[in-house]
Amino acid sequence: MLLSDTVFGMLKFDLWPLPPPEEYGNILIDRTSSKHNVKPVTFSHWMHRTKYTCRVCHFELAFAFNTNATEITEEDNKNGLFCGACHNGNIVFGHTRENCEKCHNGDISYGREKFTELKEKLPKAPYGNEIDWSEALQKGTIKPKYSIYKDEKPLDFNKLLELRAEWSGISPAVFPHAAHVPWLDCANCHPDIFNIKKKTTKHFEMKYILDKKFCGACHLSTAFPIDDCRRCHPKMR
Amino acid sequence: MPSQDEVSEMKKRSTGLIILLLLFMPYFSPFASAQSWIEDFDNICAQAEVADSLPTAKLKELALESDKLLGVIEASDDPRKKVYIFRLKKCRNFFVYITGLRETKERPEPRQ
Repeated sequence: MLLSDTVFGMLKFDLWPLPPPEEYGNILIDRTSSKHNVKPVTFSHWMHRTKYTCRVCHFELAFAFNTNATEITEEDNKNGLFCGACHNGNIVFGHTRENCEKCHNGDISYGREKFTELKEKLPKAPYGNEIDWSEALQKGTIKPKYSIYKDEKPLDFNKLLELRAEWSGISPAVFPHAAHVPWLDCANCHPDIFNIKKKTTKHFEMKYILDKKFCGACHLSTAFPIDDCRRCHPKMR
Repeated sequence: MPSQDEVSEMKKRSTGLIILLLLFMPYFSPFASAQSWIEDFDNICAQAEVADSLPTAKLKELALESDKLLGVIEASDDPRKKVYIFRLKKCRNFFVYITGLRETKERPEPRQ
């Protein structure tokens, strides 16, 4: 038995329990809905990321990464902001009375049948949605838009970072910019999540990641979950 | 009862008035004042894409310009301002971040 196995076997993480694949990355947005006797909005990351990169919503449309942190109002949507940028009746179904239930249904597994169909067509992964989204993008199986306003393209930036593990015996973690840049804007992560100048990456430990810091901002609930140890620690055996 | 000529004159006047209103409406709409800051926003945020290749002095200038523009947008009553404030802050902070990386020598100044 390798030392890494032994050491890793002793490590106990309170990993977040994973929901079923069709619910992974689904959120219920309920900033004010329930207070107004309206069902919360269900939002499926898997459904939207086939058409749009994370950047479109989390940069161009100004949705914060944290659920319910963005002040979305009905008026905003009608003014073409947030969901209303696409849900306007032209690009996709609009913010009209007959469509209320499509979003305001409070059902975290809404669209599960569509998910099953989609999953069949996409590369497999062991955790999360059980879909390898990066491979799907790389192979062109999905072609999500990088921008809805301009003809912008992702940066050609492929610096691979190797981060020494905090425990001896655990192989280093790798961070491939190349896998992230096609989905995100540099400003999505820098400096809010990763800020070298403030030396916050000195505290780049699993306990912080599990507290939704650093990689945990996405890799606990939307991007492949950290249960998939070897995707970040590829030399781990 | 107005005569045929008077009716026709009234129609002409109201048509003229409608045309004038339509011509000048954009200047009175809440979106009108936003046009200039949206242009400034586009110019500034477009630099975020190439920030890594810009000299540090330019990055610092862009961060200052962002701060000024944030004040302008915040004072606006355009309903879109919250989206633009969010994005501009991200661009501004990214310029500051790259500047910081250079100062900590994590990233060299680009060759000009």
